[in-house]
This record gives sequence, C-alpha cells and structure tokens, in this order.
Amino acid sequence: MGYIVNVDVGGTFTDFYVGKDNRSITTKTPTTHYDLSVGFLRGLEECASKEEITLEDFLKDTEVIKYCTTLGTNTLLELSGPRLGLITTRGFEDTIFIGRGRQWADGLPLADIQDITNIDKPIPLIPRRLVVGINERIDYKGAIITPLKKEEVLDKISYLVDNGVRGFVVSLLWSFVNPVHERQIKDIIDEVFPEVYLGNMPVILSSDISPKEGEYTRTMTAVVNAYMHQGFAEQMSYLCAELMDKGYTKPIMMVDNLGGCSKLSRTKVARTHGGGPVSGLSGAATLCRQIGMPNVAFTDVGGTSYDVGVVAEGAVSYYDLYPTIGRWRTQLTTMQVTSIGAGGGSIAWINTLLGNRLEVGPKSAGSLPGPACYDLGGEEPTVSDADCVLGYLNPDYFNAGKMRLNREKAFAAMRKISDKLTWDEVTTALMIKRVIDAKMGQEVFKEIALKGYEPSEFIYMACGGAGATHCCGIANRAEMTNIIIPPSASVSGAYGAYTLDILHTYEMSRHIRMFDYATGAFLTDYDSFNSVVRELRDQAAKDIVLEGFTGKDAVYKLELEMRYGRQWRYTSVESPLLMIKGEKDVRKVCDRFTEEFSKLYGSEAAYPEGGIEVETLRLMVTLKLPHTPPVKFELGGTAPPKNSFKGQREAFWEKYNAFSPTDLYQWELLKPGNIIRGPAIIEAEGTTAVIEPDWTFKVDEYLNGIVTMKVKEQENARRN
Amino acid sequence: MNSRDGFKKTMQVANNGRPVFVTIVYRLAARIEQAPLFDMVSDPTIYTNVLEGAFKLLNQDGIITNFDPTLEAEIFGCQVEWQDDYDLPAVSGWADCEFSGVSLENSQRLAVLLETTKRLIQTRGREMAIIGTMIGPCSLALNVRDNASPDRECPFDEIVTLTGGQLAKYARCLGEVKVDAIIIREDLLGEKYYEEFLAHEKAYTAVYATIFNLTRFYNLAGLLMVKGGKLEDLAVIVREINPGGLVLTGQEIDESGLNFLKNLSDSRKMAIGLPLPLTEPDKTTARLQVYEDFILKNKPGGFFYTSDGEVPPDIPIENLREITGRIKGVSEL
Repeated sequence: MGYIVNVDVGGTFTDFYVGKDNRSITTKTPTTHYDLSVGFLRGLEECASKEEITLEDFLKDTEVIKYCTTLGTNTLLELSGPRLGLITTRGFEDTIFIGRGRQWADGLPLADIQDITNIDKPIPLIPRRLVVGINERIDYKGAIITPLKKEEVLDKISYLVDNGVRGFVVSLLWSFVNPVHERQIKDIIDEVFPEVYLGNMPVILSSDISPKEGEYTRTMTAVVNAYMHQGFAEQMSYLCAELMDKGYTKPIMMVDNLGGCSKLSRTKVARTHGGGPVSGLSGAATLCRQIGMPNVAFTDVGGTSYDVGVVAEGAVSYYDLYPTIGRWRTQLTTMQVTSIGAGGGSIAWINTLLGNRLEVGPKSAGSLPGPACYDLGGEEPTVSDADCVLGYLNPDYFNAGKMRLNREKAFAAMRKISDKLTWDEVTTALMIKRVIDAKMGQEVFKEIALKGYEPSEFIYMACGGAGATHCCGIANRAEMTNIIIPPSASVSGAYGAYTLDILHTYEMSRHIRMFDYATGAFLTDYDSFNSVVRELRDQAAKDIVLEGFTGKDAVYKLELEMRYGRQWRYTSVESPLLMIKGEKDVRKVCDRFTEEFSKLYGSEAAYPEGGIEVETLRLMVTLKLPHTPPVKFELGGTAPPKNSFKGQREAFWEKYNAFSPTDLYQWELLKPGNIIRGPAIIEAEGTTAVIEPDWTFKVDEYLNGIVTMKVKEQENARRN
Repeated sequence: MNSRDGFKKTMQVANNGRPVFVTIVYRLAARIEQAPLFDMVSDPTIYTNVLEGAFKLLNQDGIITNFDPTLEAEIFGCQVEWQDDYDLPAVSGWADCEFSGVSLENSQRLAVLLETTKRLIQTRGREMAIIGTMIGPCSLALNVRDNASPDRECPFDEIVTLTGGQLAKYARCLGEVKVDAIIIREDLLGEKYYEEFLAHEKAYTAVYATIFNLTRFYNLAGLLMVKGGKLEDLAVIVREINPGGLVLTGQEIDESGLNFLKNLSDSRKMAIGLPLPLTEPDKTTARLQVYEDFILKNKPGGFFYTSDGEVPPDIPIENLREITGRIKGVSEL
C-alpha cells in the first residue's frame, strides 16, 4: 500500500498527515496565501525528505492526495469572482437583496452584530442591474402555470451579456419540485453560447446545486457556488499541473464539509468550504470510537481560528442546515463546527470604547507577517508572543526546529499594550493568555451545554498547533477535568482527512405528510417517498462509477428533515429504512423521529398527534477507503525515559505568580504509561503541551496524552 | 534535469549534476539588445525582452533581473542622472527626506522591475532560475547615513532599522512574484563589510534575521554577496546571520579555500557561488580547472559558478559563450 497524503490548508499553517501501512509522517509549513501551491509543495518535499526519498519518488508511490481547507474563500472576501448574471422568476428579482432580514447579521461575529451603528448588509455578489426576471411560473406541485417563452429568455440573456456578464445563475421558484424551466433556460443559453466556441458561458442551475425549498437560500447557494467556482477551479488546476510535473498522475480527493471526500471532478466548490474543521471533527469521532471515548469536545486552536465540534455517544450528529459561507446564508447541509476568531496568531488590542479593555482577536496576524516572535516583520502582540514571553514556547525548537522565535521581539510587541496599561510585559502576556483561555473556554462550554449535555462529563480534545499549549487553561474555564491530546493533534484536520471515506450527498425537498393530524391516517402514497429516494439513488449510481467503484461497494444512509405539524424548524433524523413498503415502515420512520426529537428537546415536547412531515430527504452514499486504526501498545513504567528529559526552562505559572524552573520533555521519546506531573512542558514536533500546576499528564496505550486535573484543586481554582 | 532544477538542487546542497553557471549580466544585456539602460528600466516590455534576448544568446542557467543599487537608495532621497546608454546612473545629489514616510512601494522603477520579473517567471521560469537582487542592510544603512538629508536627527541604529524595514518589504515583493533566489549585495562595501557588521552587529543581525526568515517563508534562497576578505571572517558572519547561501566575488580561492567552503556549505546547508574572472580568459580557464578538479574529487552538492561581479558591458561575448559551453559541456559528475 502506497502513501496516503492528507493536506489541510489553514489560515496560518498547511498541515500534512501521511499514512503508510502502520506508520505516519506529519509536518507543518506556513500557508503561502499568495500562492497556496508553494506551501503545499514545500510540505510534500518535507514529507519526502523524512522518508529519505526524492519528491518524485514519493509522489510516484502515493495512492491518493486528500485536500481540505480551513480557509475562508478569498474570492468572497475580496469580491474578486467573475461577473455573473442571475435569472429568476419575474417579481422575485429582489429576493437575494431582501435576504430574509437576517442578512444584516449573517456571517458576522457577535461584537460586530451588536455594533448597530456600523453594521451593514454585505455588498451583493451580483448587482441588482444584473438580475433579470423571466415571465414563468411553476406551482408547489410542479405544475406549469405560466410556460417559458424562448424569445423573452433570449432577450434577457442578451441584456446580461451586453452588460458584461461572464456566467449565469438560474434560480426559479419551485424548481426543486420541477426543474424543467431551469433546464430549458440552460438549453437556450447553451444554444446561443455552445461549448465548442470561445464565448461559452457557464450556467449554474439552483435545482442542480441544491434542490431544496427556500428560494432565498437556494438562490444564494447557487450564486455563492458559481462565484467561488472559477477561482477555486483555477487554483486546483494549477496545483494539479504542478503535481503532474512532479510525477503524480492520480486524482486529488477533495474533503467536503459533511465528513467525506470525493474526486475533484465530482465536488461542488461550496462543499469544500469549512472542510478542514469538519475533517478534524470527523477524525476525532473516529479516533474516539476506536479508543472507547464516546463523549468528546473536539477543539482545534489554529493560528487564526478556534474550531469546536461535539462528539456525543460516539457520533457526530449535529448539522448546520443553513451554513453561512462568508456573509451568505446557504442551504448545503454541513456538519456543525463552530469557529471563532481566536488562535495562536490572534492579535491583542485595547478596546478604548469599553474602558480600555484588553481584547484578543478576531483579527489574526496570519502566517505573514505573523506573530512578532516569528520575525517575519510582524509587530502586533499575539497569543504566540504571549506564550513566548511566558516561557512556554521554545525559541530554538518551534515547528520541529524549522523556525526560530525571537523572544526579544515578543517582548517588544507586548510593550505596545503594556505601555498603555501600565503593566509590565509579563503581566500583559499573562492577561492575554487569560483572555484567550476564557474566550475559548466559554465557547466550548456553550457548545456542549446548549446541546443538552454536561460539559464536565466530556473530554476536552486539544488539537491544533496551539491547542495543547492552552488546553489546561481552556478546560479549566469550561469546567472540564479531562483532556486528550492525540499524537496527531497539531495536524488534526489532515489526520481527519485520512480517516474519511468517499461520501456523496444528494438532497431534495419534498413535502410528504407521514402522519396527517386531521384524518389520523399514516401515509399511503408510498411512491411519493420512494420516488425521491430512487431519483437520488440514480444520481448516486453515476457518481459511484465515476469514483471507480461498483454499486455493491456503496453503503447508503438516508436522513430526513422532519417536523411536527407546522413547526418552523426541522430536525434531522436518520431514517431506519431506505424504501417504504407499507404502513409498518411509515410508523417506523415516525417513531424514529419522535425518539430523536425527544432526546434533543425532552419527551414532553414531542407531539406526534400534531402531524409528522418530511420536508427534505438526504441520501448519503459512502464508499469505503482503506484506513489503519491506531496501534495499541503495551503500557510500561510511569517514569519517563531519561532521554526524553530535555532539561529545564524558566516558565511563568499563574499559581505561583512567578517564573520557576520547569521540566521539559520531548513528546516523541515518551513511552505508554509514562506520567508527568505539572508544571511541565512537553515539546512535540508540531505543538507544545503546557501542563499547568495541578494537572497530570499521562501517555496512554495509543500514545495519546491524557491530562487530568484533581477535582478539589479545580473547585478552588474556580472559586478564585 | 533543466537549469532551474539544477539551481534549486544546488540551493538545497543536493546537486549531483554539473554545477550551474549564473553570471551577473545586466548592462551587458542592455548592450546586446541595444536598449539604453534608462529605456530598459522604465518599460517592463523592453526590460523583459532585453533580459530574455540576452540570456537566450548567452545560454546560461539563470537570469539576474537587476544590478543597480541606486533603486533602493532613491526612496531615501538619492537622485540619479542617467548618462551614457549602458552606464549605471550617477548619483547627482540627495533630496530632503521624511524618513518616517518613505516607502519602497512608491518607487516606479521597482514597479517596473517586479512586473518584468513576473513576466520572466511566466515565460522562462520553468526552465531557468530567475534571481532578484537587492542592496544589503549594511550597504544601504551606511549609504543613507553618509549621504541622506533626513528631516530629523536619526541615530544610526534607527537608520539600520528603517532601511532594514524597507528591505524586508522588498524581499516580500520579490517573494510574492516567486523568484528562485535573492542576492543580498554587500559587495559594495568590499572588505570594509566585516568590520562594519561587527561594529553594529546587534542591529544588523536583527534586520538580516527578518530578511532571511522571509526568504525561507517564500521558499527561495537568500544569497549573501560579498567581496574580498578572509573566509574565516565570512564564516563568523554566516554563523550569526544564517543566510541561505553565499556569492563570492573578489576572491582567488585555492584548494584549501575550497575545502573550507565545502565544509561550510555542508555544515550550514548553504549554496556557494564561486567567482570566475570572465574579463581575463586565461585566468578564467585556470580558475575553472581548479574548481572542476575539486568538484570531481569531492562532489560538493552546493557549489555553483558565477561571474566575479557584474560582467562589464564591453566584454567580448564569445569569451562568455566559450566558458558557458565548457561548463555546460561537462558530463554529469
């Protein structure tokens, strides 16, 4: 079995996890935003050199490259996408500008939402003058009320092209029930601008991208996808060409935001958004299942963002049905991972509007200029600078010794804050750590508590380059006493990608009354349900073959978005069956919904008598890829081997309010069973684990770092 | 393996093939293409055509895009006068300058140079190395201290920091256009460089650290260019500032010198450019023989050949082509 290369392009670092047989290779390189392929290829070269072979030989022996990204799409942020035209039903041209009212706040952090003097709607991706309405109408059953007129369509196309449009998005009312008019418009455009000619214009149909109800979100999903498509396609095409030059000729798999991956040629660009954090969460769930830890709060402290996801009872069950991409609300269901602007590169600043309060983030120094201690020209004080000043980071061994930190510049950066607040540099650094730990701790507490769970019963999984550095402080704030730091923690997104199978998802909205409250009868028209599943399976069949598999390799899972009566919100439920054959099956589906609903909201809230409806069907097809589970080792003695001890360094501990000589260890040289009591610092290639006083670090049989706190000390700490 | 691959491998101290040959051809290129220097640096189309044309004729392994130190000095008030067609501009004076407001981004010549570099990378970047240059922190700081007319009193360390900040920005600009290497020129100071560096070591080291960190960030080689001086002094500086490589000029290096340099190259993972005095063909041949014998015996992965400073515009082109032919004609070692 050759190499399986997994890459996660983050805001600050690009992470690599390469699996081969029972071994793994990891590395991190700075993300090169000016050209992502530079950092990507450099990482591949580092992986190859760790194997002591050339890059060309490494790529020749590579089975697959899986690619995911945590990056928000620059195209949306910089408004650098192509000029598009939107064709919609006449009378509904303003749908995307009205935006359900919520558009003011979508995609903004809370502080910006509360700043009502400055809040504003985002600049539209398609200006109003490039939106045209066609005189057509299809009703909620799919019946054609007003047929399409070709001449009118040609007229509108001509207007858009004369105004410089280079691509079309078509989104008509009720097209998810009957896409015939959308397809007719596409045919007309293709007739006018055939593929063989240079003037060929891409056409995106909302019924292809997201055949679900809700004209605003369906249209925005299609618009966002079309807007991001070209830039992303060019970037990936360039990357593929670079890889091909170096000898890699197999496809690239793109990791999506539903916990799977698929070939680049079978992936919608909107599906790649947020793939990195979802990949990390999926990997965490897989790892936890394999080692018997069912309830885990997955967190990833990167350079730019702090991602939190919940694994409950061994599974990831929380979805965001209307995720925002940039400032735009879409409806491509994604796994729920909450991200806030907090990470190792988050910039500390003074909020003069709030009485000179110290704030940290959401702005980040990124990879360039980076924290001041990176010595790449950055001057703003960041969390990493605070960690450097406090003695937690080793200036001579950062990122496996590839980077040298400049502690003097970290101190100088602290002075930018300390001079204004009459603190010294160390106090400033400590305050920055407190603020960021509190911010992140509050976030993870909220994520677990709002899902109905008790945070103290969860294990805090500390991933990301800066995760292990702040794990004790964050867990303490979140009232959690157990932490797990996996051996691949610093590259969790890339590790997660390694655990993923090929996954294709097909969604379609169909209003199906499973139980009618008025008549007290269950669904009898089984074909209204089965026909949708068949249609989704037919779409899947094509993709299965194009992924290089056969039908019998596929594992199907059907999820339903359901609600009682005329509830506003839907609840996502895994259907116990694919097809309905009789009333017994209908009852099974209804009972499953009631069971899931009760788990989330309590049995008292469930009200099947009010009627049960299915609104959207989601078919997920999984094609298994080979994975190697974590290796289990024998537990040895508790004393760390002598060669793992690296000496001591002065580090600041809040408990003692002073610097004190602190034991240093090399992670990779520790053995299963070793125990280290805090305070201690354990340096790994990709991260630094800071074990605060009152916490104890232990290596388990899977080489995870398990950090636990004595409960009494925690109560005292909380009281203080 | 093409010229660019050979150059990249040399920068990684892993070149198993023949040493690459990168000469400093700037005014000569203008002369070959008969484009006056002023016209060349004012128009990216002319500039690109000149460099492409000259290097096609000379058949070398890399293109050096600029070799004029007045570009950086201009932003600190240096005024230049363009003279004969193929001569570097002469400094005609220094205008008053608001130090805190200077910015390399305002330089029109830099904008043209970056556009030219971008185009060269698009057209030639796959087959040959494209190398940028910039004046070094010591040379620029001294030049500014001795000549500039700042709007206020400026201690020397502050001058070093200010000039260094602009050079870091310059390095970023070159990194973003994706050159394969940047030559940081301290050859202008000659042997004075070593003394000057040690006199203000802390200030200079801080600036070099940022510049070389940036070159590593952009995955390109940062090559320090020096002239003359003892190799042992050079080794001291290398240990302090950790460049990606060296370009030696004004040095006559014998076998023991080559041994010293090979050890330095292997231990610091640094490429080293060995100078060839191209204006004197007999000396060039003799020097080349010494290098070739050493390389054949010891197989250093990080050695490459370069000209001993800029190739003058009046050199007979045939000499250059002959040496190139000999170097490129050597079979794989």
